[in-house]
Amino acid sequence: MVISFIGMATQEVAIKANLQIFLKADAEVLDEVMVVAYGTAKKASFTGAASTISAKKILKDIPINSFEEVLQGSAPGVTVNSNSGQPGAALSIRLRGTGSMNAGNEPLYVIDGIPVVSGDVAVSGVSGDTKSFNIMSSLNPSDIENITILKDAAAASLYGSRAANGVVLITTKKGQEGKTTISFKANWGITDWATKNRETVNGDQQRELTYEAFYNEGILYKDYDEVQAKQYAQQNVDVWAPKLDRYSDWESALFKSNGSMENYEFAAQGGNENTNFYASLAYKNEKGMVESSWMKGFFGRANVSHKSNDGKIKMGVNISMSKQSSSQVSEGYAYANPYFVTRWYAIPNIPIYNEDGSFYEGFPIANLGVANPVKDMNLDKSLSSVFRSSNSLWASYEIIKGLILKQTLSYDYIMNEATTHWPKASHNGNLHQGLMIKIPYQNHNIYSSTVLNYITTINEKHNVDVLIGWDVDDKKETYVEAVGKGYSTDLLPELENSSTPMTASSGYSRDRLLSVLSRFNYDYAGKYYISANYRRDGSSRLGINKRWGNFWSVSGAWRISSENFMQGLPWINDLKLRVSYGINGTLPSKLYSHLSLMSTGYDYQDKPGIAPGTIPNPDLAWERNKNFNVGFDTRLFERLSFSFDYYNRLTTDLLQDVPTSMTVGFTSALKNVGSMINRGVEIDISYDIFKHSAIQWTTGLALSHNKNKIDKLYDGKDIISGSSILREGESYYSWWAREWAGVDPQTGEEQWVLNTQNKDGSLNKELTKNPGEAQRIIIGTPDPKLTGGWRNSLSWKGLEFNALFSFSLGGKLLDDACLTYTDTDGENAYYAIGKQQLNRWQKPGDITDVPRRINNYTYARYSSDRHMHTNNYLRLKSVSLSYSLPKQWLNPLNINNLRVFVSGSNLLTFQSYDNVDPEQPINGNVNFAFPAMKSVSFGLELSL
Amino acid sequence: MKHNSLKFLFIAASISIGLSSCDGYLDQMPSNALPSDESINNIEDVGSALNGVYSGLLSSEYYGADFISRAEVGGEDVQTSTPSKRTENFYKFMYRQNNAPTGLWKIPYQVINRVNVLLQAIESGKITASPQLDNAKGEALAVRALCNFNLNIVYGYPYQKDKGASLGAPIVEKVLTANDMPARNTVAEGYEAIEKDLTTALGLVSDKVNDGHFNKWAVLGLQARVYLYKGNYDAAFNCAETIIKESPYKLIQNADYLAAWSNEYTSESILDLHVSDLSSGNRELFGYLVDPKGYAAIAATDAFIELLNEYPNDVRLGLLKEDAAGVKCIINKYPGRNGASTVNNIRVIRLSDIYLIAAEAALRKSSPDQAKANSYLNKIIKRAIPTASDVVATLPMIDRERRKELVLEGHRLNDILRVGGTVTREGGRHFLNNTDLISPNWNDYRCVMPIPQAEIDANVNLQGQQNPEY
Repeated sequence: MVISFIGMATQEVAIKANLQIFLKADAEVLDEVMVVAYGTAKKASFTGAASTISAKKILKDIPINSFEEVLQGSAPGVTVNSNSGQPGAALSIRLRGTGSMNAGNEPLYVIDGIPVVSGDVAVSGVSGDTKSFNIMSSLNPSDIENITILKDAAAASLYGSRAANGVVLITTKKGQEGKTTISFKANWGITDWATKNRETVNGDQQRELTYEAFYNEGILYKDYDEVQAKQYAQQNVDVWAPKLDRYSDWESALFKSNGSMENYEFAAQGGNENTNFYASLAYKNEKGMVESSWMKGFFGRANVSHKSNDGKIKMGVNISMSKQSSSQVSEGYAYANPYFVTRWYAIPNIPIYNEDGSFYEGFPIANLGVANPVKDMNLDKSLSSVFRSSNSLWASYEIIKGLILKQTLSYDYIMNEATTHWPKASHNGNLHQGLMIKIPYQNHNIYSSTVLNYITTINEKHNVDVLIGWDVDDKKETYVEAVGKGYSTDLLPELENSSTPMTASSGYSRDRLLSVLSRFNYDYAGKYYISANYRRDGSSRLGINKRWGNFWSVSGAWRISSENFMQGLPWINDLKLRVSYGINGTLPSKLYSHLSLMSTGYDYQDKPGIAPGTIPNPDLAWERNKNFNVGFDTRLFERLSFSFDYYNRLTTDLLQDVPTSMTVGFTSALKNVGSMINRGVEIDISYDIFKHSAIQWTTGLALSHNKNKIDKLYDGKDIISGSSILREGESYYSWWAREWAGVDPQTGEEQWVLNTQNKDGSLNKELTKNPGEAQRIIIGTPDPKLTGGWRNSLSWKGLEFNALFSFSLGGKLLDDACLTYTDTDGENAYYAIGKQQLNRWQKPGDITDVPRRINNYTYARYSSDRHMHTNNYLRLKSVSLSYSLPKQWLNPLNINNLRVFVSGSNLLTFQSYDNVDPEQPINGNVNFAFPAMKSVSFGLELSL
Repeated sequence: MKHNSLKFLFIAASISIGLSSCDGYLDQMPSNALPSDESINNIEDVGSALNGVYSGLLSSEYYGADFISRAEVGGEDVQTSTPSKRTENFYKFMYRQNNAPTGLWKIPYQVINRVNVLLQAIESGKITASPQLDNAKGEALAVRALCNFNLNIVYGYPYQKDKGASLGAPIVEKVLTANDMPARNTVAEGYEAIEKDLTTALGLVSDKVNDGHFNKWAVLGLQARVYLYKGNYDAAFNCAETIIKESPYKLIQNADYLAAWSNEYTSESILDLHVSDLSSGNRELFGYLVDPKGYAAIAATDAFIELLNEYPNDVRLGLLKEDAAGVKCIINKYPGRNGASTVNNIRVIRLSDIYLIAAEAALRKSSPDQAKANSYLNKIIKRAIPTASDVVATLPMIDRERRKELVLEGHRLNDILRVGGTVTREGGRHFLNNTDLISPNWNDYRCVMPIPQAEIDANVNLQGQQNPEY
């Protein structure tokens, strides 16, 4: 672990670091300092549950867009789900499961002590736009020194109403005292799909399967005789899946063979006894699998701190700036999504080009309202251009010994300019004679924190740390939206060239939080620790009745290894027992749902109109997260570290969109009604296999198990929405569908379990061949039983090797995209056909799980567990190998270090369901988003 | 220097404390809404609220598309052009409680709530009384009646099947809270509420032409339709004839007929819902469903094309245009304005419809009036075919003329069902399977929509009130 470079260090005693510290005896480990809420703490004295991640081991050299991408598997209790494989796409992060339905589940991110905007900041003027932009990508991963993940109440409750989903504390690099070093690093890489995805049949197979579907339709639905049916099938197969001399390869026409990335970074750092600095500048350019899927940007950072000669006054600035732009293509069920159209109607039997080289337009489904996707590809533009400037300024003054007053001020500005351009030439743009939407969206965040901290030791044994503070948080978002259509040319895509302005709109929203906070830590002789936190938050998101909330935690720890009776067991280097309980909160995600509002925008005849916008709830309150944690940390034989945690997270006053009768004019109202439990265990093991030899090898395993359960819902009522259900006693993510009972080997018909209720309350398990008769039940949940990661870090002389595997066991995926498109068993003659359909039933006696194919199949698309699959996987999340040239070669050249490296992400994947990438959205519903990417890159680093 | 900057920081801190010490700092309002109880204070606000009411009707889940689609592709004159196109489920009557669109239920209630919020504000007495206020109140009541009527014909069996004894839709006449769960009323009760609202409205609304809004003539027009559906033909006749005789609306001339469809309003627009040019990007609107360059989801059936070809010089034949494959089966009643096929007013009540109601009611009323029936029917026929000779009106003839004249305006299925008719949809380009509803009639459960499952799940008083056989 790395000890140096702590954020707003109050304990800089520990930082007279030199390289030796890594190799010192284990007693030193106990003095390790970690970044915690509002400061730092000795790891040994920390009573909460937190994981620390050193950037050196996990992030170094890995070509990633945002640091969260490698959190999966790095620490127990953290799950990261990507919703798309496009550059810069948003991720969803969960610490210890899903605790809320309507108040957000993402952890709070705190960078160098400043709570920041995180998550997806993409904006769009197009409804249903799938564009996303992960704002955390504005933080250059190379600037990160370490990450602390606060998980239980004791660790997180100083963040009160935003702490329920845990807190991710990020500390950026700081200059080290000594020689100024300058380094330059560059790497280049290529990317490709991490796994094969949804393969479809070739042209001849498409014909065969289409023929069969029409033949069966003739016999079964149209009462044709053999001859008629064959004739019917032949006619139709030539219409829907004609024979081509050369079948089309839409995949290659729409996608590039690979993506690419490049990265250039410059960093300088240094300092003397009073002042230190770290500065960096980087450029990144990442290209995805289609032309208009890319992201690039510049990143700069300067961290400077200074202390007065007497050490009483300290001050510093952390300034970072980034300018990024990204382009994404539509995902989901949009015809502009190439990943979808190739699995929808762009089949090998349709030519891409006519013989004269022009685009083929004679689709058998000419009326589908779609254009030739290759022709249309890359014409429409959906861009985000994001500028971020984060500025924080802090100063502290030691009033008397141990009593420090610290003031932090931060202004974080994000300007996101979203542009949609549909040129006249495109299918979308054609309707409007060209269309452009511009949305400059600005995000202003002002944060002030005033903290008074007193640390003292009485009689050498009583260590006291008291903190009180006052925070003000003011977020303002403003937007302008302008839309114009009617362009004389596609070459001048700016609104000034449009003939018809359509929308000119602006607005703002404001979100404020006021807080007082306090902490009390006490320990006796490094054996017994107690800690208490209290925070009171007031939020503008809640009504006057319930505006203020109190959040607190108490915790204690006992260092058993320091007791006299343990002295006889020298192989136990450290053993500490921790327990904590506390209440954190979550704010509603909507800003104004407590108010009864008449909203504008319901215009008629181009005159202003107003209408009731919400059903109000003045009693809307905080969700409360009651968090119990018990765990221990131990280190044995000076080699083996082991941490264990058990937690119980009970969310009460769960905000729920309670469905209302639609006759009241609304479909739902937000209320604090339910409760939900997340219960789990986390284990983290780290073992130094080779420690004191030339080879050093540390390996570690992070394991976690979480069980989610809905405890209470409004009125105990199920909430069913499509194929998902919320039901008391079940996981938040539960699927509600029919139970599929395979294919009748005699007839090739699908079968379902009836599951109607018998008189005695049991379920009738008889089979039916009419899915309309089969009742739906809970078929499963995507929640994995066990997730984790296995990390390895090896070094030998100048060689260094790091690898991280992540895995997940016992989870499930519901592939309803199959159900509705590639695997409709013949329902739609023009659909692309998934490879698994080749296993369809053909003749009596065939044992298969794919029924006979019938055109216009009546029972297609009945959601059942037929397409629910176990999702076990093991993935080589990241790997890097670097070699530092020997010093004796470099010294004459005045080079401090020259390193070459190769690295990769997602290079290997072993999975139980191999039709799609195993990393899917957290709800387990697979759709047509771009799958995850793998990458290989090569780079070098030179430092002077 | 150093100490100065420190001072600045601590001053900033104390300012932030001062700033934030009162609760007002935490009172925040959005930039696009006002508190409900402060939002309707004067006649201008009433106008805005009324605009909000009308705009609700335009949802593509309602008059914008679905309400029209269901009535059209459910009849024999119009069909979903090919499998998998939008409207197919209406065409095949495939909707069941789990997959039925909620819009036909949800949107009218959303509009009714807007009406009730407006009426509540008016009845509170804080807005100065004036003829404009009366007019606004009358319009609001008429919109409520329209929504209520549509709910009853979509979710309830036709009145004439059982004199309204079966269940229709819950009647909502005041602002409800999130916890209210009204049960279904019978169709008869529904008609009673509709008639009451319309009678009250008639006493309040102005008789001036007010395009895009209910006026006296539109209220009468809706009354005529309601009475026609109910089988009260005497009343239907009187309402329709009053409009024909007294209203300022005139039939479109033969020469203008084809061009009229791309006009904003026409001389027949008793009640159009106005679709703004700003909706041009809304591709879920009915015009885009029809547009052969749009979703091209809706086409005339061969049966209808044949019917329209009965007289070769029928002006309405000019409405047929070619689809992408060159087949003349697109009915060009939604050509769009300014080149945007999405932008078409929705013709809710059109004078031609009133003529045909008058003709039909004249024959059906308690003392049939053949002469009037002839006169009104011949007006419509001769407008389309100026050379046609006078006919003696019969009910089948009027029915045929309604099909020709009102096609694609959201009437056909309802016209079949309201009198217990049945039609067969076979041959031509139909692609119905024998499991689909080929012959819609009021004895088949699929001719009324299922109450959306989401509504039944949320409203305990509707449990056990699903339409039969769903």
